[in-house]
Amino acid sequence: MSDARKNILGRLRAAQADLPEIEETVDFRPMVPSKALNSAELRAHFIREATKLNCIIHEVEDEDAAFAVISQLVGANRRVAAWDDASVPIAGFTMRMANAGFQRVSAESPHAEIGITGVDAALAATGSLVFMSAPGKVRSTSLLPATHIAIVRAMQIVTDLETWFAQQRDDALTMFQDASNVIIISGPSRTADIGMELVLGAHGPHTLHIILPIAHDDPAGSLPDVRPI
Amino acid sequence: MQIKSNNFIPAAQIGINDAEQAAAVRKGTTGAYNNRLAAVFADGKAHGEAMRRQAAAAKRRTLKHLPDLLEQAEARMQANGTVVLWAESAEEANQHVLDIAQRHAVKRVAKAKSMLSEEIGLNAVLQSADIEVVETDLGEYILQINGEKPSHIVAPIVHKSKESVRDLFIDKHAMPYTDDAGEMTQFARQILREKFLSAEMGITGGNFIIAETGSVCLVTNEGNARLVTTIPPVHVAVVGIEKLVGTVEEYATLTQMLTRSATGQTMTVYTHMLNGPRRPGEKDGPEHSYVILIDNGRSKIYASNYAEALACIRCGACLNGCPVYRSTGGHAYGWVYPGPIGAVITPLLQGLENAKQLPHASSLCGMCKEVCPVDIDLPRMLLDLRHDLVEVGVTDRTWDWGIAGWKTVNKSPRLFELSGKAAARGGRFAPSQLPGPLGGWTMYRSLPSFAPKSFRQMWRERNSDE
Repeated sequence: MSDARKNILGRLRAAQADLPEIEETVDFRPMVPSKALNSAELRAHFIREATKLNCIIHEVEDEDAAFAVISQLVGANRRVAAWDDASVPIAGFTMRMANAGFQRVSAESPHAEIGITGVDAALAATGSLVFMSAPGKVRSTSLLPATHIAIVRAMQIVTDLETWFAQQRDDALTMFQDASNVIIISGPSRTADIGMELVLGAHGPHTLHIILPIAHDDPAGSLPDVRPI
Repeated sequence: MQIKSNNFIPAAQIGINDAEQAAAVRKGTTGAYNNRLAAVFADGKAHGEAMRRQAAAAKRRTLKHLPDLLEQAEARMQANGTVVLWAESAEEANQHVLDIAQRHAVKRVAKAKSMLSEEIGLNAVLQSADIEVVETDLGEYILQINGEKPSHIVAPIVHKSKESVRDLFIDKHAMPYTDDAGEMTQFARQILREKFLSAEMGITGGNFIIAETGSVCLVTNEGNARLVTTIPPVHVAVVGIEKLVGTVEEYATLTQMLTRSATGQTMTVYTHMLNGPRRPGEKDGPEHSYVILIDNGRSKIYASNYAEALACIRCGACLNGCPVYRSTGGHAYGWVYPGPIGAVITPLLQGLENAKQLPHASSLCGMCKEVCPVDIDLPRMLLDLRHDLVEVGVTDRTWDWGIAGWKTVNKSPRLFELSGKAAARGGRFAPSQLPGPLGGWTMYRSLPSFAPKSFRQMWRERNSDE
């Protein structure tokens, strides 16, 4: 064991007093100034921003319609990876996939062509999706397949990153720290390294579909709870 | 990485004279500069400036409490199941990574972009131990197969044209001919996907570590860092000790300021917060996670007049805005960090005597401070470094002679007047191209013609008339 830790901290402590004291920021301004939005406005805002990021939005009436869209996107003979039922906000999802004849592979399979997930939150200000890893919510499902389909419940849309962190703060950041991996996804994978030309699908999915069932006030119990277990 | 910063002037000339590179750098930096302006001030000038102040305060607070935050972060990361190691030097950091690799019998490493890993020369150390290292950021991968170094801290191949990438892929990997950047990207994606799936270890840097949660935070667009931190069973993050941030609120401000300033995005495609190894029941994610906190000269900067330089969040905005960087490209700066921030931290990390010209590689126009998301006073530091250069006596001899001559002439009224007369009389006979070191002036400018009478002469004549 070297003395690196002791020496580094010692040098920093010796100089610390010379640095100016900075006042605590009491009220953090959010990066995107936002007025209070009702749920319909939040939804519209999210759709607008996600569309700018090249996401494809599918607004559907209910769970059946959501699954119909997914069936259409999957088409025939494509290998599908999906999260566990408890984390996908369409009731009986595994059963529905079996009935529809989907060719299922394991959620972490590198051979999957389409990955289907729920989300943990959506951020309206930036059109982003938040994912917190947990058993049943495999990370690779939203990463390895060329196409990612995410199903978002209307009540999961919050204003922005700052609001989402405030919610995490409410439970003392416990849920946040319990997730080994928290990832915010804003659009399909992209690069502009070659000639500064925008290309979608660098290493992650090149297509990101977001399925957004219309919430008729999102009645409690009609959709499974997708918070981490 | 070997330092060649004392070669700035000839290297800059090479960059300026390479038309293809100059065009690529101009296109890249201009695009990023404009995107930043649009993003930072999307909600008005006042709001953008307020956010800059909020970001600047967050990072200054971090610096003030740095040792405490490091201890807090260490404890949190350990609670998350991460092994935390400390390294005073590049050698010690590399030895840690090597030890980890050998402990887990690693043969292949998939690596995401990390400027710190360039700084400590990590790849060469691993390769000399027969470990394959694959750079997976598309730009970094292109540099790796061509044996080149990055020229920009955010856009590593900003100096390369699309055509040169095409030719490289055809030459090294027999890619079928295409002029389409999308097809080139897909070609590289397929090669690299195999590497990800077979790597036993992933290495990343860290854009931030949130002290209160112990989260290692990364921003990427391609998704390679997600693969690097998801697929291999071992993840190692090499992170500078200055990358701390106290709270999630500060992080929310800084990470969004970083992406706006770097590429003009409101958020990068992938904003990662890594909280250690996979938990029981999870099917993917690393089984072992290590964070190496690296000093390598930073604590020395912390104790100096330049501590503010440690607030840098490496967005690259000062590179994109700098008229010098935009002309020379990044390789001219001769080490890992180019542009105004590089001109400041290269001499601080590598010694003034090894980077004598960098404090002068600036017109002090102030653009770097203006675009900085955390408001670092780079022009002030460049000036102070010039002062230090004189203090420690490592300036170029010709400078010393020139300044000594100027001082002698200006201190003596007689000599001053004489030199004025000589210039007025002799100016007419001066060749349009001056000889020797003075030729640098006349190469791009005409020699000024001096007034036939000096002010002093006119003053005397005017007074004698009355």
